[in-house]
Amino acid sequence: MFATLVGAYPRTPLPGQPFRLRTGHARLERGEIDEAAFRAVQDELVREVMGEQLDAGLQLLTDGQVRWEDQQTAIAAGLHGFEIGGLLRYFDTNTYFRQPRAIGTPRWESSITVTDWLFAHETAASLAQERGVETPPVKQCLVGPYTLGRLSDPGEIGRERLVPALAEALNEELHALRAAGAPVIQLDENALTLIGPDDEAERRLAGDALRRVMHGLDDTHVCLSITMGDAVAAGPDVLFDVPFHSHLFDLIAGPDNWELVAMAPHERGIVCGVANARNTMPDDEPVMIWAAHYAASTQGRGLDRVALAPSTGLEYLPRDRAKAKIEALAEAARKASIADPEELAKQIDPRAVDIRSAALGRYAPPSERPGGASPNAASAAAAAQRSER
Amino acid sequence: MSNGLWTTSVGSFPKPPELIRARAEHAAGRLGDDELHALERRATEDWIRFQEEIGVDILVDGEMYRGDMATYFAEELTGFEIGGLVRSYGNRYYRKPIAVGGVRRTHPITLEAWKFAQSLTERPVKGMLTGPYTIADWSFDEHYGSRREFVLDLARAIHEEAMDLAAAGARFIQVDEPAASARMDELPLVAEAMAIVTDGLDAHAITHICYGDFMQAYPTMLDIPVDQVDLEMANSGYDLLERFRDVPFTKSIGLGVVDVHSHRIETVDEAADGIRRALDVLPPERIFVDPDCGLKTRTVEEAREKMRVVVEAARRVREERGIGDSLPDAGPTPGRTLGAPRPAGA
Repeated sequence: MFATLVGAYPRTPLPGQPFRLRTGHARLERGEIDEAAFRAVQDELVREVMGEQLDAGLQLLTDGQVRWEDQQTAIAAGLHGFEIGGLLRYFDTNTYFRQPRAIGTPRWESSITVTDWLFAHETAASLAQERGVETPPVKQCLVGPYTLGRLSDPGEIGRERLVPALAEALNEELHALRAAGAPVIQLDENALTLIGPDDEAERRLAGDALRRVMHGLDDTHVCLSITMGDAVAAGPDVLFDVPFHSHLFDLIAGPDNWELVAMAPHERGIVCGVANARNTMPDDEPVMIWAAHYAASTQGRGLDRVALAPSTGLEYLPRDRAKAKIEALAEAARKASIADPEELAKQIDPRAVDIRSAALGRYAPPSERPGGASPNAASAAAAAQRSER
Repeated sequence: MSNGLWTTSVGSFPKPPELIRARAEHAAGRLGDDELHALERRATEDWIRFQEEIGVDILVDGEMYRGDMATYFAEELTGFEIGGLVRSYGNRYYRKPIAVGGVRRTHPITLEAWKFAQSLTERPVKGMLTGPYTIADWSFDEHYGSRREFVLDLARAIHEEAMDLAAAGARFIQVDEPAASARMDELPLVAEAMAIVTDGLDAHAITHICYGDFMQAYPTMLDIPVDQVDLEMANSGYDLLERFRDVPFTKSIGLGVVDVHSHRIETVDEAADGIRRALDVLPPERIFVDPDCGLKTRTVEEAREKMRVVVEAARRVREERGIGDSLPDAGPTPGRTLGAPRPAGA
């Protein structure tokens, strides 16, 4: 039981801090610094956001994707056969990505994310050493073939040929990451939420792409991440017939994804996207704890195969709010892993014990046990009186 | 002779470097309001003069006094606080508003700036507003819990502003709704809110929509009660125009003919070609020609060059087709209430 990011983290500064990335970017555009100097600015930001994750208590880190223009171009620009086109809105957000355009059959030529993952891995080790804690694992995220194909302009080759070709190209990237030592790789397939109930051809295209991209990776921990909606119509076959080790689901924008959590094979890990990444309001801790326990209960999965996360990348939030979200997530994960229900009851809002006992799994408050002492005798007495009328 | 192909701009122009520096100094408390205001007015005047000089038909003030288009309004309305920076794309960021109470307009927001810009020219200057759906969508909501209630409260506030602009003499009023293309299932809410904004509005009402899946949004977008829909077209390859052959476009169109997110300056031929494609499906008197979106992300020189291309392309096609440039009567048109075609019996 632990907490992690979906991937992205704000690249903006905390209040009152200088915005070095924006300044560096502007200086690069004006030709005042070179690429190496700009990369040093990015390196420093990666170190900062990873330190923030570690200090918050996350146990599986990312580099926050703070180097990327966006999730699509970061990968497409590294493949042969793409050019980068005009701006397009990313799902229903107020952020935009440059749409990749296929100008030939995509081909993998060299690793795209390995250098950045190695830097993040070394940074995690260095940060952990400074703090005297164990080095946390670092996951590498990348857009999956179906989503990249669906959000790209397929050009003359058409999407039916583009998506399988992308799957084979990205399969090579996954193998490169495995060879480099990445312990967890996350494929972001948000476009699975766009598949409708009657889109049989899309289901086939997506299922085929996921099989191709995972070829030869049965022994590697690859997490399939779906945010921005629910993927129920994509169907359990598409998701679970491929040997992913874990699944991350957005349970805020796609509450129906709970159906998929309930169907996920018991050996699969489930990452519950329960902290709302698109609103500044604090999330309800007992609800996050309940989500962890419920996911653990499905298929007899157990808490050791469950984690908590934001509902999607946190870059939609100001930095201070994102920081508060990950601190709350880590705290919820810590509490959710408390085995003793009475100990848990002491650590969360006591009202949740009475009105949301589901947050505590099968725990029954003492007042409902034979001879148990009530933590709230007055309300228990009132309830007893009501039941007698 | 028919008239049409009037040139205009979507709203924002880049701020000159001295104004950018001044805004930073002002934000840091090292420059007073009056000094900043004087620089904003000087920059506004420069853009008005430039637009007159190149022959733009319907002018904008260039929004020299605004930062982000949603945040600017949120700062002036009650019920909002302004949150931290979030990214919109590339190296572009804005301070995202947070609704923490009921939204209300307590004073005019853009009126003085519009009056100042209009006082500088005989040509019409557009009133420029951000639409209620977009302000809501680009804010965090910690108060309403209902998107509809949030949007409709904003619609009432923006309606008051639009009515004040019209009363002051604004003949063209644009209500930007770039977020409208984000969620197809909420287009009816966009239309419902716009009906409040444009209710009784005696001006040519425009909405600007950009960077979304227009194919999905069309023809439902026609239900938005405005006289003109201004669309980013160059960036999306004018794809939507083909749909107009099957399902007629019932309003005037603002036709974006230069990409505002590219440093490359389009040729006049390219832009003129886009206009000719529009003329294949719409009469000239229902076409306004402009850039895809606000030009504030370009350098001053790039923005000027792109505007020159817009104006020259329209002029060239007007000459080719014998189209005049007399401005239209500005007021509600039949297109405002002509919505998307409905199946018979619906």
